[in-house]
Amino acid sequence: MAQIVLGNVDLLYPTKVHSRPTLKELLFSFLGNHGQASKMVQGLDSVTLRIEGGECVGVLGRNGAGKSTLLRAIAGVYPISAGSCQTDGKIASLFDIAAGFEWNATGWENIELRAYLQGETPTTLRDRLDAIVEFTDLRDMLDRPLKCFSTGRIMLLSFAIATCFDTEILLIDEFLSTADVQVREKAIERMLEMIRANGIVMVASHDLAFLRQICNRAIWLEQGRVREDGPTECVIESYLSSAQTKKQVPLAA
Amino acid sequence: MLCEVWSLRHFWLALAKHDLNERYRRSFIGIGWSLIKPAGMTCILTLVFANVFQVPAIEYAPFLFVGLVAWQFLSESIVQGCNAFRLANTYLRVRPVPIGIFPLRVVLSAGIHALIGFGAAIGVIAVLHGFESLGALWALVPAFAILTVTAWGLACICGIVNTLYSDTQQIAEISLQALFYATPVIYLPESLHSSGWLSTLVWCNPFAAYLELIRRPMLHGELPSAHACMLAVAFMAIAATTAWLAIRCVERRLALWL
Repeated sequence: MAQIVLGNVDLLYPTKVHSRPTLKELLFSFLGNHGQASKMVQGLDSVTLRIEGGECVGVLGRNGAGKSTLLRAIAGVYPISAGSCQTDGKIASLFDIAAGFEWNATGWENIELRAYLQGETPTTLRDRLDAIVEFTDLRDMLDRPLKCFSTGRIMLLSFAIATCFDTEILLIDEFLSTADVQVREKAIERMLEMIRANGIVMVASHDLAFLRQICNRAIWLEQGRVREDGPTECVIESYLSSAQTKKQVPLAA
Repeated sequence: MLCEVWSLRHFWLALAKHDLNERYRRSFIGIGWSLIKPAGMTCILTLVFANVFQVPAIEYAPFLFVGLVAWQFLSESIVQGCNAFRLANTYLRVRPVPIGIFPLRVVLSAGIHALIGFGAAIGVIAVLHGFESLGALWALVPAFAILTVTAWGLACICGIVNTLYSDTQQIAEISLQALFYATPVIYLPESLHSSGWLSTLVWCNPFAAYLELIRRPMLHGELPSAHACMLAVAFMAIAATTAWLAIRCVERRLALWL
């Protein structure tokens, strides 16, 4: 059964694009000008979680709270600095609409590339190709380069590839926020199928109505820490009242 | 690491295929350019240097063509390898993958061009001179493997350094320019004074050894010298080990830097 277990996870990342000085900075440092040192930011701070198969977990919090960092750490994209992160199950991630696609390649070529990136083979892809095309309903479009696709269609294609290969853990970061009603309904139906099959879905989003609709558990992150973890409705209530309180404080002052 | 790279072979092969399609998109001649470019260069340079070195054009042209193809393979792998990880940003944000596959994508694409060039050279040499010993041609297989592994190692190293210091590509281009003249691509090694400094430089230059590994079996039907073999294998081992250590050092953090 799918499972995610995080024990006291810390994640530090550099504030600068590159954590090391550029050649110019190195040269100046030899001449005595040390410039601005690279600072490390605590992306996650002692995060402990246990998520079992059959759970759909919403991750909420303000911008910069660590939602995306948490999902990327679980996916293994970002290295954790301390603690332990164990996952059991086939992971697929939907972090960024452009990620894993070549804009000049056709829809068919992109399906191949993305499926092979997920570790599939021509045989497993052949078995699922019809399912992907059927889910997206884009058969007539797939001969065109991806740059001719609308954002919603790219999203649909990406979602179909990520979920068509017996995915057990699906990590979604604000991915469906710009999708139209039809795309969203299709995606929700697929996610619910995964949960019924004892998979795990984790969704980071600011769309609280969406989280209410699909999640049976929510995690509220604040400054990289888990502030609250529990049933979706309770966590959203606490989150909203905290936001309300923060809004009233300056007024009262 | 190699097992992981192999398990994702369908992915990097698809990427290399995409790169070739992309490079020749809307081109009338397409991949034929990989042959026309060095062939055109060979014609022009033969006109000049066959006179300078006082050698018959029919002997000099195959020598130059093979050298240019091999040099282009190495230099293209290094220069394009500098941007291998920056271009891979879109994939590294999806899931953790062995990062060595991205320089390999670049090397494969350059290697296919080189194979087309070498294939054409073998054909032309067979028509012009014939092969004295076909057995020696088998030496081209390990020679090309050594060349590919070296190119992959150097592309990995340059890619990592360029991710940290974006001036690397410019430095690599200038260094390759200098190295071009220290390698007998255009001039014949026999034309150098045996006691001169350039001759010593060529003797210790691993890139010169790679050219010998390819040229000797193809042009003379002989196996390469022991010195060239040892120098080429030693440099390949150094490049591959350094690349492996560099990858091990940065692999987990690379996604944070991009």
